[in-house]
Amino acid sequence: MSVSIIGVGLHPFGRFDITGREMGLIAAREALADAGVEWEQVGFAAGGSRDSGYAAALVSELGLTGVPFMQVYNGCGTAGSAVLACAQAIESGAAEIALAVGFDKHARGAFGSNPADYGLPMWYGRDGMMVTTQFFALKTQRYLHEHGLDERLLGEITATELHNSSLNPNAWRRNALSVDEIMDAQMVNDPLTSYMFCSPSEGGAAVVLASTEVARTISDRAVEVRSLEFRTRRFGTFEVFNPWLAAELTDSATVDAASAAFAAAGCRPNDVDVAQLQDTEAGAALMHLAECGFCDHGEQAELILDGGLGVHGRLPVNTDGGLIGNGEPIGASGLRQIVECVTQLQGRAGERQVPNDPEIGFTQVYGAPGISVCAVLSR
Amino acid sequence: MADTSTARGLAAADHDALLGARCTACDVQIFPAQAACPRCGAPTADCALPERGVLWSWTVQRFRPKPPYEGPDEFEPYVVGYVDLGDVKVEGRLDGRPVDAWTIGDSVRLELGEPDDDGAVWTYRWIADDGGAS
Repeated sequence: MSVSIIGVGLHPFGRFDITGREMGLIAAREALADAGVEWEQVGFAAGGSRDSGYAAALVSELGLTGVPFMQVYNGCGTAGSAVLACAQAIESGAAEIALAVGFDKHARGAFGSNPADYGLPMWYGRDGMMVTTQFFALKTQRYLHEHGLDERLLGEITATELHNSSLNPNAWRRNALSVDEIMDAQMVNDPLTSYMFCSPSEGGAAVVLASTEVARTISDRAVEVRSLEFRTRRFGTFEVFNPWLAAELTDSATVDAASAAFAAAGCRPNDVDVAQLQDTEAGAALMHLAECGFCDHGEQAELILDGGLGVHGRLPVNTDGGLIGNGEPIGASGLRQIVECVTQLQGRAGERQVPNDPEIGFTQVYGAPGISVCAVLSR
Repeated sequence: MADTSTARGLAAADHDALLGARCTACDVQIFPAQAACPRCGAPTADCALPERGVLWSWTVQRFRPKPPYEGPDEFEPYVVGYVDLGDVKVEGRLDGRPVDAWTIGDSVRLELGEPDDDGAVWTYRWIADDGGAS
């Protein structure tokens, strides 16, 4: 791609007294200021939220410039889709500078879902199977069994992420916990305890993108979007809200999006210096390490143990605390990952900075019902 | 083509079994029955699913789900799993054993719920099957 990120903005994630929309506005203004560009210069915008209203309505406070503003909603992939729309607008020549923004503010507790919205019959919900956390647990349980993995790896991943978020002033969960505290916490859906899940939360995030040519004239610290790939599920994947699964299972959308992203970027998982992976819960992070190509299925222990995923580890993952440490405002979550990767590649991550000048970053979102967006970023 | 009217329930007519469907073109088996194959789009035909299977994965639901869940006022944790029936894996609630006493590979058998006033069945359970007569 010939697209670069020239500015990032973030409203902290957690629980606040302002609306989701206001958090989006704060993040957008911060990203524009970070890029050093005015809203009038933005030739295309895209964004979304699940519960906090229309992203395109932000123009009434950013300025009614007539800019084409594409509203997107794609579950956990909302923010990734917004970035993709911006990058493609730039690549096509439709715009030189674009803004992607996401925000949300969710009620407490696991999301409730209406079966009809997913083309499912009511009995599925009435009998208690329309529950996202159940799906994560069923998938993790099977994965641990098939690959002979120890449940304690879920605690190790969670402990690393909560340590990272304890160092991140923008994160929600600021208390580090030991692996034992995480393993001994209240069981929510076996084998996942309460700390292993991300919770719905609030926050906003935004990035300003430009063609790489224009970026060079504006910024001396622009981060190049080497690739950005979006895939949906193929037949036979294991997704949320499925009364049945195929006899033969196939690779997830993450596998397809990640391998396409590495191919398009011309690099390998081995080359990545810092990664932000979708960790809706610890089992997802465990599986995504292999699905993205950082290790073989079942070989995660070598990567995870002895602080391997920590900021100073072999593969720093979710350096800002990930979803487990930040919660998930759906519209903003994928943009937070990109903001964190850019911040790390620019050496601006403070106490949680990955050492030795990281050059290549990777981000992955995965969401219902079986979509994934993966990106390779580099200095 | 499979009859997918929503009023007829989940059970196969004249069978003590769940009603699934099989693709007339690619042979994929699905549950519940729907008219078009999710893999290739061809028409499906109704079929009764096997009544016995093997537990493929499980978890305990330890908090009360939000609506449209319609459980008893006093919430009791329950078990949900996928059961491997050979040509398809079917999700469902498990019963007949303490919630934390399940293991992948356990044998289970189907038990259909009581029919409603129109004779349609809307619930089913997978029951621990210790090899007794069916």
